[in-house]
Amino acid sequence: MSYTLAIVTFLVGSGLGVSVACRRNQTASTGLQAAPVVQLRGVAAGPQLASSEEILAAAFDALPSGVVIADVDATILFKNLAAKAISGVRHIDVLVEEAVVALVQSGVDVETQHRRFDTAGSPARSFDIRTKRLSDHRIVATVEDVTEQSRIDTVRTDFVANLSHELKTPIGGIAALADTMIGETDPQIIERLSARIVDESYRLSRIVDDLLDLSRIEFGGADDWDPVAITDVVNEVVARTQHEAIRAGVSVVAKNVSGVRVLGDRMQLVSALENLVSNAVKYSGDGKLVLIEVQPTSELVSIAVIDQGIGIGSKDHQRIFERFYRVDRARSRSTGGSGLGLSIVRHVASNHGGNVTVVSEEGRGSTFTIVLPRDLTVSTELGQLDEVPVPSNLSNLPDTRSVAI
Amino acid sequence: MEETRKLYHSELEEVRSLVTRLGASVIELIPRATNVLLSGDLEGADYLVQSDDEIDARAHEIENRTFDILALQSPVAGELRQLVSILKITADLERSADLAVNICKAARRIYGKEIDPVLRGLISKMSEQAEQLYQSAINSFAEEDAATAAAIEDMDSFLDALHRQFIQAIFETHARERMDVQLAVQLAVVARFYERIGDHAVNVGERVQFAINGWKPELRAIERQRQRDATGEFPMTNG
Repeated sequence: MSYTLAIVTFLVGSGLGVSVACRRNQTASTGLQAAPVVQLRGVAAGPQLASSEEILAAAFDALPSGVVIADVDATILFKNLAAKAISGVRHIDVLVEEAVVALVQSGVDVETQHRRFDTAGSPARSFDIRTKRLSDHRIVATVEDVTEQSRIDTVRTDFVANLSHELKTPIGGIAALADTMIGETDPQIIERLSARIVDESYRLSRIVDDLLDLSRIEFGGADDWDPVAITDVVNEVVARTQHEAIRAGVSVVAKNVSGVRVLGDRMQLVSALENLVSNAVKYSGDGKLVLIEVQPTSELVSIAVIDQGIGIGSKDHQRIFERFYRVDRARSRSTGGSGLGLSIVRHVASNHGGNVTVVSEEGRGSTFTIVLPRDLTVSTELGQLDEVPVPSNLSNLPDTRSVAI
Repeated sequence: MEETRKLYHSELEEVRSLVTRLGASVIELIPRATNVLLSGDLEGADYLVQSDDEIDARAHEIENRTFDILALQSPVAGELRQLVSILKITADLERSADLAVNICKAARRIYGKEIDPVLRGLISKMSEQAEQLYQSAINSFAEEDAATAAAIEDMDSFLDALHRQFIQAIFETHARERMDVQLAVQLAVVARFYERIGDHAVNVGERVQFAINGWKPELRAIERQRQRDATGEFPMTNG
């Protein structure tokens, strides 16, 4: 027995939805005529497709979404290629196919159904399965891989939730502290309360500063970029984080290579590397080592920040660069920070035509690596030139030291 | 006669696809159990413990249908080996699902206790490794790929190494910060479950090889024994 598939409607909007009617050629008793549904004229003959049915089956197989058509008694009449192999991973394909058939069979009497199907393993994926009952009571089901969409959804909702959490906590703290202060007469307590209000205000202003930095970096262009020596960036970061490192009992060691430059914004680069080093210090224990390692290749330079700290579980690797994402929410209180650091790092790196990656294992430490394209206009030799030659017109400027006094 | 053979083949194909589907469920069960363990998800634990009944029912169905084919069709040679392998593979799958369920039960027992990051990291790795072994095992079954099936045993040595590393890490954690005894024991047992799941995946690989080319790991042992008999060497003195 053969079937004629007729595409009734194409839907709609951004999502890909297809509605299909399917009827038997020989069921004259239903009063339906077996009409040639698709006529393609003047189509250059490729491999010959014998019937319109085969043409449609081939067309369905070309769709990225899975399409399953079931008879009135829920026996499966047709599955396109994607319905059988949507993910390219066997066990996921098998589970999705099973879920579709189960949904179709549970929904013989239902107009439309929708189910989200998630797999937990490696890789973790999400699928949207929808069924729709047709006018002749056959059922069509579509499957879509929504892994990426659902990831973006999670990022968005988490961002809003985290932002309000990060902003509300210090504000709530300040309000409560000030409220207590109103009724307080003991000068010692008042002093302690106001000190804490100052702390919370700094925390709030740091978050707002970072947010502004981030949006500046996000929209920043390359208008006023100069060649920046990586040595200078690394040295400045070491100097800036020294105090924090000493307090935490961590030694920061830099393996620098001179003569490597990138074209960019020095302040942004310092801020990115400082964030990485400061994180490394924060999450290391007493007596641990943080290593900053610069390694140039002929066209790129990588700056790795290697620590022996608590590390990050693999399921968090993709998400830590999101704004306000916290691996451990409880811990973020004690370590401080705005939750924006790694997000800034990522944006700075991509602004400069590079990227940042992480290799980490829980309990073993983390390595964050920024890779940037080198500025090769000044020097093409590895590790040679230490300083940018001072342009001759600058040497004519008045001695700045006298101005400073 | 022609017609009967055709029916028989489609029945065999159907049973094979049931095995693949059961395998897919077991593969998915491994990371789910790990998530339950690492996030202390009691509801998830209950759900997975209950879902084991469905896996048992499916294994039962596969066995019954295999018995039917064996009884009614008297298959020989390759097909007989295939059906016998299916029976054994189904038992391995069913047992692996039980082990995953045991991980969920352990998650209930250690609920509320914090697991050291080093141990968490190793648990994730063992889980990924066990899942990978099973993915290869089920792929080799579905594609009748003896080469992949034979490679699983070597891949398993990595999981075994992780298991040893994990036990070592428990001792180290305990030396550093006096670990809760119940937690330590439960985690040691959990590590053993992952290691056993890996062993079952190796078994599946061996059954797949047997179905395809008649090879069995026991043949190695038999060969060794024969050599010892020939040289008159007493096995126990061999070290």
